[in-house]
Amino acid sequence: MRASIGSLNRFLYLAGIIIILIVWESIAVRVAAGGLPNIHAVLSSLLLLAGTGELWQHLLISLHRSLTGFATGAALGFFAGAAAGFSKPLYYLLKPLVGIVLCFPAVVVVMLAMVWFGIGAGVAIFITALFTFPLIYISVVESVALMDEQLLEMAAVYRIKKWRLWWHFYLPALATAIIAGFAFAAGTAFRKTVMAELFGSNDGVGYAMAMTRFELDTAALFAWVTVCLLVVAAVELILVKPLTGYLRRWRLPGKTTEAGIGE
Amino acid sequence: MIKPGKYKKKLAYFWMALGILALGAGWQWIAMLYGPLIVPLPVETIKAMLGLLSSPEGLAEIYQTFYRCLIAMLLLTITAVTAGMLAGFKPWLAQLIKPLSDILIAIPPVALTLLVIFLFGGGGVQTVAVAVALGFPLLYGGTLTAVRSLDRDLLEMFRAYKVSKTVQLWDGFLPAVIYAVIPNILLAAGLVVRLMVMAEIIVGMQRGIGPALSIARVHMDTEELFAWLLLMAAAVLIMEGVLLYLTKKHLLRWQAGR
Repeated sequence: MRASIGSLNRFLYLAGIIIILIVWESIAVRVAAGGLPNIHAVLSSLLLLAGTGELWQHLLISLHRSLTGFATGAALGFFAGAAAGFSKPLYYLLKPLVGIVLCFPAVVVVMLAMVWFGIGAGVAIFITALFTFPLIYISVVESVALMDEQLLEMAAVYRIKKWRLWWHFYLPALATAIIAGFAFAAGTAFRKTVMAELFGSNDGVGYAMAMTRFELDTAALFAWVTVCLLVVAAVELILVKPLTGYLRRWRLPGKTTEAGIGE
Repeated sequence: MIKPGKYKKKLAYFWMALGILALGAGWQWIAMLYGPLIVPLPVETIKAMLGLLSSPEGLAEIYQTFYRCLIAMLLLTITAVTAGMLAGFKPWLAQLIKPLSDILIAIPPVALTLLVIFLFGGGGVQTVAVAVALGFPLLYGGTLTAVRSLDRDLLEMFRAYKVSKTVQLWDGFLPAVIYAVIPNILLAAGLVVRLMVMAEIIVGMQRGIGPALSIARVHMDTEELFAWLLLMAAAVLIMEGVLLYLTKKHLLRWQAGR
């Protein structure tokens, strides 16, 4: 029964994608050339970009930047989050900082970063790190808060050694939460990198998109958008889905991608 | 371990106040370290903020962006809440809409903005369209969750007592859904403000906060950039923080009273 509902849902999801493609194709056929490119034009543009090597060049630059920024922001978020999870004064001390960063419009920070770092990789890495930090921080703080207090009390009653507690209790709980937090922040990181590159870089996927505007190459823009969607889908399928499935098996709180909605 | 309510409120406020002071002090220190051209002093930034809020030019930019955000929010609320309610009652529709919503979540917002410009040209309407499209998944998803979590017992009772469909809709579903959707509307409003400024810059509007930011960047006017950053953060904070907190509190009381 459950399996059939699952396959029906998969069928409906697929139908949704097909409807989007049909609507796109039928509009594209009616709109004259120069307007909306059809699926064939976009695919051939994608193949052209892949053939000339332009695709891999910009994509690798963007992936490298978003990984660097993500790693920096995640490391800071992890240590700050773990410390704040165990110390209430520190948690409240950091609250204004985390709160204000969450309220920042990314574009405004991009504009500032362009003044500070000039055109180049600095802007993208800074923006990605800055906006990864609160996401990881919050997921780590929450995971520490969710640790079972009764279990801890029991450990205290039975005088379980500190290192054993860390090895068997704190670390597994933290690790799973961190994996979940990392997975859902990864898509956000890539989108932030692309945004920063569009304004303040002369290479990378964001820059390549901005260039299609000057070359009036709509098919190329669609091709780059497809690349971005494939990157996010790959993160979702390779990282998020298996990990949340794994976490659910252990009845641990997983994150949904909806938390990643943003600019 | 953070357990809300267990920690003394006064102490929490004390540490938060200290956190704000530390932020201010850190800012002052960095500003003095790097010089006012790179990081403006807090006092100067506050002066610039007040300047923006009291000058006719600053108010005109704010009004332009606010007006666009308002229209976007109206359109967004109508489309996303309607779609969310329909999909909430018809699970197959939810599954059908999911790919669209997934794409709108996954697509880099700057990319969607460029797509809209390519297809429809540049202009105020296009910035509104971008904000509506990118805000859709958030409010749609929120409404969907709200409908799905409607009280099943209540629905059973309606059926048992053969309450008419119109009464069910107007006195049962709508108030419950609207109440549950208000927090999502506030979250969406915070998102729309941020998206709008981005769209204004990329589209290349003449007036609004976005264009003002572009000009400030070209002039390397960090003071004005900081002023806009804090003003917008304050606006988002009011919507996503203060108003959200108040409605949630009110909502809990309403639910308890039911």
